[in-house]
Amino acid sequence: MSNSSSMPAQAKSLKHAGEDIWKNRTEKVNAELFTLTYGAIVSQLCTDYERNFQKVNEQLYSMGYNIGVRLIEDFLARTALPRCENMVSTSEVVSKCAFKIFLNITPQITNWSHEKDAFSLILVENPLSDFVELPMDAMKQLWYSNILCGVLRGALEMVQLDCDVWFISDVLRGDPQTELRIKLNKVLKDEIPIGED
Amino acid sequence: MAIYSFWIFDKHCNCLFNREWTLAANSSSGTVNSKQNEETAKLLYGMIFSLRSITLKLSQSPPANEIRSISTGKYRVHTHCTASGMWFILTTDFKQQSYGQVLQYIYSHIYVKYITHNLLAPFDLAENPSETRGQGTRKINNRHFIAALESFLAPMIMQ
Amino acid sequence: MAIKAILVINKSGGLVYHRNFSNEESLSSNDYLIIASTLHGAFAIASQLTPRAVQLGEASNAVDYTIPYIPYVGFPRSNANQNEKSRFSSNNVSITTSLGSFKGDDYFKEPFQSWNKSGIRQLCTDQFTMFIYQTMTGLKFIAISTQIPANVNNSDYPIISIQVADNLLRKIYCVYSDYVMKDPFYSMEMPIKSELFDQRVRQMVSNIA
Repeated sequence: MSNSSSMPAQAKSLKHAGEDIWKNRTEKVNAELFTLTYGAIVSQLCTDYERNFQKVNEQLYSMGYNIGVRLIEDFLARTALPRCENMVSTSEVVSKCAFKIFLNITPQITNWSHEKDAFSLILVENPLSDFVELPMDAMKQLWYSNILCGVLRGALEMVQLDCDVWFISDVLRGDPQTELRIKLNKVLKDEIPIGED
Repeated sequence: MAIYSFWIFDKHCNCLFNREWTLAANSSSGTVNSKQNEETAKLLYGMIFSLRSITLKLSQSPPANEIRSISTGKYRVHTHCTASGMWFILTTDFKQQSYGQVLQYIYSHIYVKYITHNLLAPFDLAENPSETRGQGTRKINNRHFIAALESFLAPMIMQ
Repeated sequence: MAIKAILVINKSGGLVYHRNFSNEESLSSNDYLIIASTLHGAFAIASQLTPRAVQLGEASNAVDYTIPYIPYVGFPRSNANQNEKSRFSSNNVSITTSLGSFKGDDYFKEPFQSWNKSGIRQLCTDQFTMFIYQTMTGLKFIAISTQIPANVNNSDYPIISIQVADNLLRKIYCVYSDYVMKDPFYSMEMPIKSELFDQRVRQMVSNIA
């Protein structure tokens, strides 16, 4: 476990690394194209599943999972960050590096559980939902950005962290903020590559 | 600390001798022919054996392609295989790349001198077939051999 | 450091990619599969064999797993030399676009930590040297080079070549993360058939020679 005194310095360098990689090391795509593409997918899914939003949520989650298990390789190849010692440093890496590099946002980390195994990310900005207003029938059920949960779950699983990831609230549904919860179930110790120590 | 341990294996996959040092400050620290190292010996033999099968496969026709060293992030293993099927193995740190000459010296000037030339010692420690295939437990306990080996390797431990 | 072969092994020890660059007659695919799983096993054993003195922290100097950044490993020589000058020149554009989703004139520019601490990183034999780079997800990238380490007395020399190899293999990992992981029709853990990946790897390796 890293001692708490080294945390601020570490967090600062993570922030710096995230910004550098975003600015200087990563090719970008047009944000509107990205937002519209995602919007088209969600709205098509709503049609295909005949507005069964539960199904749409699941589908987005599983699409995200399939992205996450692949995207983690991109993240690691780009950053070569060492393994996190605990969920506190994991949360820093997710927020300051991962979200920064792929979406250019840095969600706030908050609401730690007592055991420090679960935390929330507050998405102040969300590039996925820039121009979105949910239709009335979707308000209560659709988690519009649910793909993010799948991505996080898949990516964390590939670095041997078995986590549950879900949305608690979304400004699109009229909530005061967009809150995403990550809870560690267990570290898949048997699957940590031999040789890391 | 430059040298961590030294091992001899024979053609029957038996570990004939092992010496492990544990303290940098004390060249007589550690163990000689320790029972605790039986398992480690098997692992070490197994690793080198399987890597050898790879290097032989990947080699261009003769001459045979022998392993010189194996490195991890923490230590390095140096091997010296003789035509008679003996393996001399040294685990070290990274300061020096090649211990080939050291192993060659141990073989020709210490092992051959005190073990092979000692007509009273059996030329093969495995006395019957049940002691082959890694099942043998006999060790080299020759005092002169051990003393010569210690005095040769001791200066390298602190290096 | 001419490279004879590149292999990629998935986290369960299966060979997913191999490319032989030498003209020597190559082994059968089956032989390569055996080599991959044997290496996977030997790699795991090596981490069990950490000497007691190292475990006890007796090793005089603490082990440093940092790998320095070596500029432009795997890029054409001319590019590496005049790079600083050509930063804004037009010829830089073609280089930039060839790095896939990676921006700039190299895949990365910082020293990095090796994830592979107690597994095998280098295997020296009479005829070749093998280097292994393992990722946090358990993938192994392996380079077999023609370099023969015998009789090199300069103690810096072998470390440098491990570092060159780790730089090269991390770049191949970068290429993998683009051309294999982002190929929507690639199934995870399966053999890599991507022509684009193969091309990039071959190009990078030919620049090393």
